[in-house]
Amino acid sequence: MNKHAFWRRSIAACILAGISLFGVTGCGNLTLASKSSDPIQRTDFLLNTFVDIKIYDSDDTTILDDAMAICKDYESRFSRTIESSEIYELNHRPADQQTFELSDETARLLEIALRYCEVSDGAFDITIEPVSSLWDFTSGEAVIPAASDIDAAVRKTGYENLVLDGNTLTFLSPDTTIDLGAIAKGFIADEIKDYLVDAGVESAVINLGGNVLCVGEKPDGSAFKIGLQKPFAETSETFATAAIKDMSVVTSGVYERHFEVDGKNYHHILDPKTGYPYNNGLISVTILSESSADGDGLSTTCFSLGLEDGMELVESLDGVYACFIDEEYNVYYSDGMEEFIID
Amino acid sequence: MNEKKKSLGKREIVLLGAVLAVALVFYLVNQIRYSAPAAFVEISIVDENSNRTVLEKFPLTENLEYTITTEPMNAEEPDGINQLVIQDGKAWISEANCPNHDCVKKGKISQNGEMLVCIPHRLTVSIVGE
Repeated sequence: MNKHAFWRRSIAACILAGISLFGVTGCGNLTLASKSSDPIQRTDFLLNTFVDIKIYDSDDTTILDDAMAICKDYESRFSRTIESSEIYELNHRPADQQTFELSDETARLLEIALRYCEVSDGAFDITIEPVSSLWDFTSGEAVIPAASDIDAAVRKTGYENLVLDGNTLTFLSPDTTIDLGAIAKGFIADEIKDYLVDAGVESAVINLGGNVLCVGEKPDGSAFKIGLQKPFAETSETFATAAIKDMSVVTSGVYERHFEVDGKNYHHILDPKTGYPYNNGLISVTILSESSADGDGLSTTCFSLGLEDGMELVESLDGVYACFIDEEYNVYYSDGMEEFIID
Repeated sequence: MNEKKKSLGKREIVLLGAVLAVALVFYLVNQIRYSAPAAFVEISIVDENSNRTVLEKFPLTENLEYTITTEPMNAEEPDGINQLVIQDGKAWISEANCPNHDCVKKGKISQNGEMLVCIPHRLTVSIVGE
């Protein structure tokens, strides 16, 4: 009897010891790891680029489904090329119609976009559409549009021909058409973030074609680390890493969508005044800001303004930081930007 | 007295042996589990209906070259080709037949969560954990 009881206790002790060993060194760690560091993730190809969303503090994949659905919904409103989109309808309006009632979402985006048109005095201009639709930077065929076509298109640009009053948009010229490509991605990222926060997410990263917007911080309380890239024609390399909490990082550069003809680089940041890509000595501008729509609008705006005026604009804004890189690969940080750089 | 001591000692030895045996089993299980490579290079495509398919998964520790072939979106176009290189714990695309070579320009990736993307081929190459 005594002997049996001893063996039962011994076996029980063995099993307990085993389980606890296993728990401490194996299983336990593994569960912890998957909870704290392995995010749920979804990648798709939308907005003429890729969309990647990682959520670190939830296992609920329906949140990812909804976030992607939001992205598709905005794409179907803002796209210049989808024939059922609100922007397509505006751009292909009947000759006798000047005034439109916009959806709340489109009105909000236009309001932000027009602000950057004004701030930059038209260096950033959403009525660039007649020009931007002449250039094709994605087909791989390096074709410079005919000079006469560019001249004709340049004469059609001018954001002053758009008047937004509440949700009512009035076109003052029949030639005016809209391209929101320089700011829509940032706006959509902000909208996705608002949705995630409402859904209770406190730790996530939204990446729309390289524009990164962080929700909160990593689950362990540390910052998200975002590599800042030095662009080269053939490859790019990370020259610094920014530690970011709850902020957006957006870069505009000359090697994103571009082609070369006779050794000259033609890129997608077009000057509405000339119809040709800006050629002002800059190769990239990165903006850190709270809102990704601001980051998107400002990266293009600052690139358009050039180093001196662009930097001045950034310095005049609270909570906005920038990094400019010129053709000689000199790096210029705005006040406070270096505090985010960790190596 | 002497007898009691003897029999307890025997039991203790058996018990000790059993505990050690159990510990050894779990130690070996963990060894096998953790000696597996911590990171993999995962090649995926996403179709137009947002369905993701993992094509291949290679350990980041393995040095290799692999040609990723993807079906074109448009039947008249040639297959998509991206040449993947994994070397010394880093992965990159050395060549591709897409127009812009964004995936080549992106350079080398090695950290968990990093990703190379080829938009025309709807292809992602990412570093993933287990």
